Amino acid sequence: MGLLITAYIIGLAIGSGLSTHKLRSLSSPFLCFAGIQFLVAIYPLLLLAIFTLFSSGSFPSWGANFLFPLLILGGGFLGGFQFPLANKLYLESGRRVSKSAGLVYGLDLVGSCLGALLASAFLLPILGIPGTCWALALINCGAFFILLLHF
Amino acid sequence: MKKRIIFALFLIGFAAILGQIILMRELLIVFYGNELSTGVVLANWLIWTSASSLGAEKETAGKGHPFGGDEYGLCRDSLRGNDNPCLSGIFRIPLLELSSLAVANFSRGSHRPYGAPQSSARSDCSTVTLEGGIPPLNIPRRFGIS
Repeated sequence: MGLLITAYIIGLAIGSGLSTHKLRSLSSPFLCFAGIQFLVAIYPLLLLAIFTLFSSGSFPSWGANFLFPLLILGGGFLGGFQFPLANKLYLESGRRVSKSAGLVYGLDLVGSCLGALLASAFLLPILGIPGTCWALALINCGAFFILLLHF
Repeated sequence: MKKRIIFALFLIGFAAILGQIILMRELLIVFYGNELSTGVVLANWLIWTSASSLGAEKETAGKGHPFGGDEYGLCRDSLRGNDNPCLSGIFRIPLLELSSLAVANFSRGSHRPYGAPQSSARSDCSTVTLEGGIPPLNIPRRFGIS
């Protein structure tokens, strides 16, 4: 568990650092945000493909020890890259830094809390891992299309 | 001052994640690590973090720090604690983690959650295992249930 959390936080740090570094030079932060959201939408499908490959025995089992932390690092990278962009987009509407950071982070965590409860109590026991991956991809595709409509 | 605050924030993050790993490990032992308990533990962690984040956003709203202003000052005030130094951010995190660990350790052995594995050597129990991830149920025979 320590390794997995470390991988996630390394991904978050790299993603948020890179995003903050590139923030000033981005011509359209909104398009970049939507692009990251699209990657977030296809990420569960990538997970599903890798799980299927592993269950078919195509990969050696020790590969999971390297691949799973890398996958989690990728998830952290996407989340870390998106967060400063979301803050920048919210700040452009004239909010203060502390208000923007507190609100965006708070709402992000409320969603995470609901997601943790929903996934563990309903989605995983009822739909299983493949169904949950498809459901996550659909939900994130919905968020992506809402962003496109806003654009 | 700015470097000290950044270093303090780094230390707080380091201590917080250490506490999170240890606390989650303890709680996984207490609840035997099924996905429901993991989800509930994570959800509780996240909802209280979000509550404090939204609370901090409300608290700083009337402090008169304009955009681009003294955000480090806000952070410094929060770390120091305004009235009571024992309640400052530096002291609150380890105190909370220690109390959580104490509760988790106290729960060990005194609590048998749903899905807890029991010794199969006991003659008065019959183990029923259902498929689909439902943990084994041990039903004592002395209650007349077969």
